[in-house]
Amino acid sequence: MTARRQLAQRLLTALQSQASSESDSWATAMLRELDYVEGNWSALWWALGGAAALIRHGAPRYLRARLAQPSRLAHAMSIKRVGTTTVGVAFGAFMAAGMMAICLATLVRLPHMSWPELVRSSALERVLVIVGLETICTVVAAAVWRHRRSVATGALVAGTTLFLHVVTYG
Amino acid sequence: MATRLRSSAQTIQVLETFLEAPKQWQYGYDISRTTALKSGTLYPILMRLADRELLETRWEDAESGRPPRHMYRLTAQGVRVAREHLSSRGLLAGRTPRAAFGR
Repeated sequence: MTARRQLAQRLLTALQSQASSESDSWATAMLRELDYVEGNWSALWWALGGAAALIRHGAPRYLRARLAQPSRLAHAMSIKRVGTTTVGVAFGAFMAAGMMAICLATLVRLPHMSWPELVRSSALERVLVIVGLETICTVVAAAVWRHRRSVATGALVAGTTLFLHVVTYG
Repeated sequence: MATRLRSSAQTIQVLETFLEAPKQWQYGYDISRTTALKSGTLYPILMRLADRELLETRWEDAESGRPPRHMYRLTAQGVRVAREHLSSRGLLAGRTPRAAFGR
């Protein structure tokens, strides 16, 4: 088999493998006829013409099918989804803001006034408090990750903020 | 299903070929050689005719280990529409039948 005929066969085989169910039989038909086409150049032209015909046949159907499907943007912008996402993001932002406030308060040494016993406690006890808060954040994030990703993101942001604060000022 | 046909010279050539032996199944490459149409012209016509249920297709019975080929012929409605189409253009009368080819 010459290179031209091989190329023709590969082209039609590739199109056949990608063809929709409606175009598949036409692609197979052209491929089978290739064995009977006389001359290698003719075989290559046969395959090229067939490829153009298959694309012309398949493209409008493909586009119609894609247009018939609801777009991702339309799905993302549905009222219910926007509401759910907004509540989730607001809750996550609230948690992050709360954690940030705790960090800032710690930074300006408010705990010295508010919870002197905590400040006076041993380093181990303070680490345990931090580990406890980090664990809560991680568990909350893991628990709601599947259904409330925005809330989980908020919890993770809060946990990360706390961690960075401890690393920086601890 | 709409049965209006595009009256291009190529479509008329294909219809004429089918009408020469309306009951005969024909191969794509044979039609291509008879009409001197390239595959890129012939197959869209065949696809269009099949979409409008004017052309029926089937796979050849497998024989001697060779992969089966796709075969085509006009449906009864296809024959009627093709005859009307050609006669409305004065192409049917006086047409000399050619020898059948393919199967």
